[in-house]
Amino acid sequence: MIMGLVTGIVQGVLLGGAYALIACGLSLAFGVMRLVNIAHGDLAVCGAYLALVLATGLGVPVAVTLPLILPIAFAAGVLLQLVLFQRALRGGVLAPVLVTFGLSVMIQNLLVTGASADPRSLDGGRLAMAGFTIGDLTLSWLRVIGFLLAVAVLGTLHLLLRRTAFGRRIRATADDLETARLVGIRVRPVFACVAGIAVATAVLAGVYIGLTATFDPYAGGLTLIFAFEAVVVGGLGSLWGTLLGGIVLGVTQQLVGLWDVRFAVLAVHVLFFTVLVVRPRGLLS
Amino acid sequence: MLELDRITKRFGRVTVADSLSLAVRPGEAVGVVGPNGAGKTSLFGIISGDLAPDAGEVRFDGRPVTRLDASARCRLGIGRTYQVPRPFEGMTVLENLLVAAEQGAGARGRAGLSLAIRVLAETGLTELADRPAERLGLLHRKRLELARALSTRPKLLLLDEVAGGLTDPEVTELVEIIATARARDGLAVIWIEHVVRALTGTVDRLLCLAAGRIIGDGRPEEVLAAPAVREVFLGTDPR
Amino acid sequence: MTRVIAATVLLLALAAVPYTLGPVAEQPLIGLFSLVALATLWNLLAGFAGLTSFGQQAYLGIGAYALYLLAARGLDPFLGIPLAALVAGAVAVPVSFPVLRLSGGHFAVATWVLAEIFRLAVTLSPALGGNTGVALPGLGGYEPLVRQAVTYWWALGLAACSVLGVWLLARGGFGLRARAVQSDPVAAASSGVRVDRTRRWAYCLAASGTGAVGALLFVYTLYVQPGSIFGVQYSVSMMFMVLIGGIGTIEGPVAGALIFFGLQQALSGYGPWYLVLLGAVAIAVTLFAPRGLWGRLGRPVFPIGYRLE
Repeated sequence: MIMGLVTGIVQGVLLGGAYALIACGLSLAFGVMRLVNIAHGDLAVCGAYLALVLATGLGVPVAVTLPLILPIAFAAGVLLQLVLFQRALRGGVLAPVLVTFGLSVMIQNLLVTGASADPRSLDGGRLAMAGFTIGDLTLSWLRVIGFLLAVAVLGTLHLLLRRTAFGRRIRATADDLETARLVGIRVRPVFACVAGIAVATAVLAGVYIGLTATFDPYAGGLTLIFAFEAVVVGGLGSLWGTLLGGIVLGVTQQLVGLWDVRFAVLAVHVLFFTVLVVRPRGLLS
Repeated sequence: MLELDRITKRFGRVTVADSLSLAVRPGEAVGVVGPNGAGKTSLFGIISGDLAPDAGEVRFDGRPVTRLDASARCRLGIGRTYQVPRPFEGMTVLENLLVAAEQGAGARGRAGLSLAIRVLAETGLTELADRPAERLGLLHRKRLELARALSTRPKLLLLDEVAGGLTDPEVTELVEIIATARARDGLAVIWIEHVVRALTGTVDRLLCLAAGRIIGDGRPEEVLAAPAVREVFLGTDPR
Repeated sequence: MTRVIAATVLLLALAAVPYTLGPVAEQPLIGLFSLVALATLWNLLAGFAGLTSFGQQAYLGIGAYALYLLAARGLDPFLGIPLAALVAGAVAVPVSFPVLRLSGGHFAVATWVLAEIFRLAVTLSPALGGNTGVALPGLGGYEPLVRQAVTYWWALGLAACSVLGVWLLARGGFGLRARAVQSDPVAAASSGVRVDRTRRWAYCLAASGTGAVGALLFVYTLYVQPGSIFGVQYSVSMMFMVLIGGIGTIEGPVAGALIFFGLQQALSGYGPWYLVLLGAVAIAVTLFAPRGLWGRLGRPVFPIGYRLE
């Protein structure tokens, strides 16, 4: 019983890392540009498909495709920002929501035409199967690496924002757009970079999800919902809050799953609403 | 009528109100000056209910209003303008005033319409009544901002740089509009302005704010002459 | 005056369809009328109160399952439609408190989560048929032709009531408040508008109307499944119709519903490409023609707002 609980919590924390990995791009884009990208989950799913195509096409392991995929994702983010998001953000409150929702519908159905609606998964090779044991606890290397990856990405973003000149420009822009313009910060490239980073992290998360679970063209919706819940539960605009939010969701899902797996996802959604009622500004604020 | 009792508000490490106390009497006209970042606009936020203070109490007409939201405070008689005008875009000038008249002043139906029409005339916006607010220039946006605040029939009017960015004759006109409204309704005014010239002729009392504290409070010429006030303006002559 | 006469004549002509054009015309028109009602109600939220919900399918489902529970207790399904609307509205009241703490994109996703909660709850509930869904009992007493005609009148009534109701709301004080809240909630609050209350009314009224449409769809298809009635596709189409027709107008959603209906008939054979096109058009309209087709080309038949003249 106790062992089951411990396993559940540890697995939940690891799962939470994955949620945080998806969520950090969403959190970043909202924190800096006030953009809630409804297509964030679909972009992550795109990453998984891209990895699938490249890995099978080139006959290489999935991990090898990442140096190719991430720059593509960054470029796609920059392009989306310059072509769509930038205009949408100028068009009032509703426009960004509607434009990114439209983008989400387009991505999902383009994926259906290109890859059919069948569920797929990425082949992680030996790593996917490998595990190790601590006492009575058996852990998958893949999940541990995923969690460490999430912490590394969040840590890097944190350092980038706090310790670099580029980060100072981003924070200044996020605090006060007009003043940032006045002191000579060119907002457009800053926003484009942030969008590029956000999409790159989403795609990285998408590849990781593809290694641990099956995905289909419609998986982006639920992915977005989980990422969004992690952001809101943790506290809007706080990167470490997002990690905490992801972990809280992951642990809830695993523990409820121990009791009855059918209620696991429902429990996560209900938890999200409970936080919204009790602590509307999130746990870390 | 308005009392601030030891109000404190911080944003991170920046203190915009530092145990600040202030009382304004009915009908009084108070000017507020101070360097950028002194907490002038935040002070308005705390009075109008857009900002919640970290500590302290706001009282209006003798009752505590700290826990009331901006909407309730407006209905009690606190009207405000924003430094950067925030007209309701997608609505006409008349509709902008009607919202304020119906909701803020509680004048429903015909009463609301006639209040809005009267304010239109007073602020010289009658010609533009049916124009969508997003198609107004800066001068008219500033006027609309003032007109909408007046349409809530305030007892206390908070003016946040309504003269900023306007030419001299435009400033004079605006000052006259405010003077007329005060003469008729006897409303109290707190007026933040960088164009100190617009203030000195109108207000009976001037406050100087710096780093969330009041460092000067009295007759305008006395406050502007005080060394502490001259110092925060870094040697520049506020006049 | 001519407008009132024209509207009345149109309504009477449409009401006579079961006697004139007969069942062939009824079926597509029932679909069209539910689209008109859905678009109009979504516009009440997004176009007037500034609330873009991606979770209105929650209330479609609640309306449908409320009707199931009522009909299973022996109530005539047609009489159950207004009760289902009441149930949906009643559910919306407590729900509105947490979701209205959010705005913009956060509100949109939170309402979507809400629909997921209801979907999962129904899936896990054996009394509601779980994943497989339920059939509507209690319509056995109706001749098929009569049943379809009555369904048709209900659909027409719901569409007409939605359009008329939203118009009456929008042209009065409520519309004024809602438009101010949509435009700038902070400035609206400091002009004395009770922002939360205005949004709550819009949310609950839209939920209630959407619940009625959910019940109607159930009566029409006689079967309901959580996977489809709680599908986010409904929100996609509501958004599309409102955007393309003209957000914030009364005629826009009606025009949008007609266009969407036409596209559906013409292009649904193309499957996903059709949805890709919908997405692309939604983006293009938002960015380049934010007032929609009616806002661009049409003149208001149902004027809203106040003029000095």
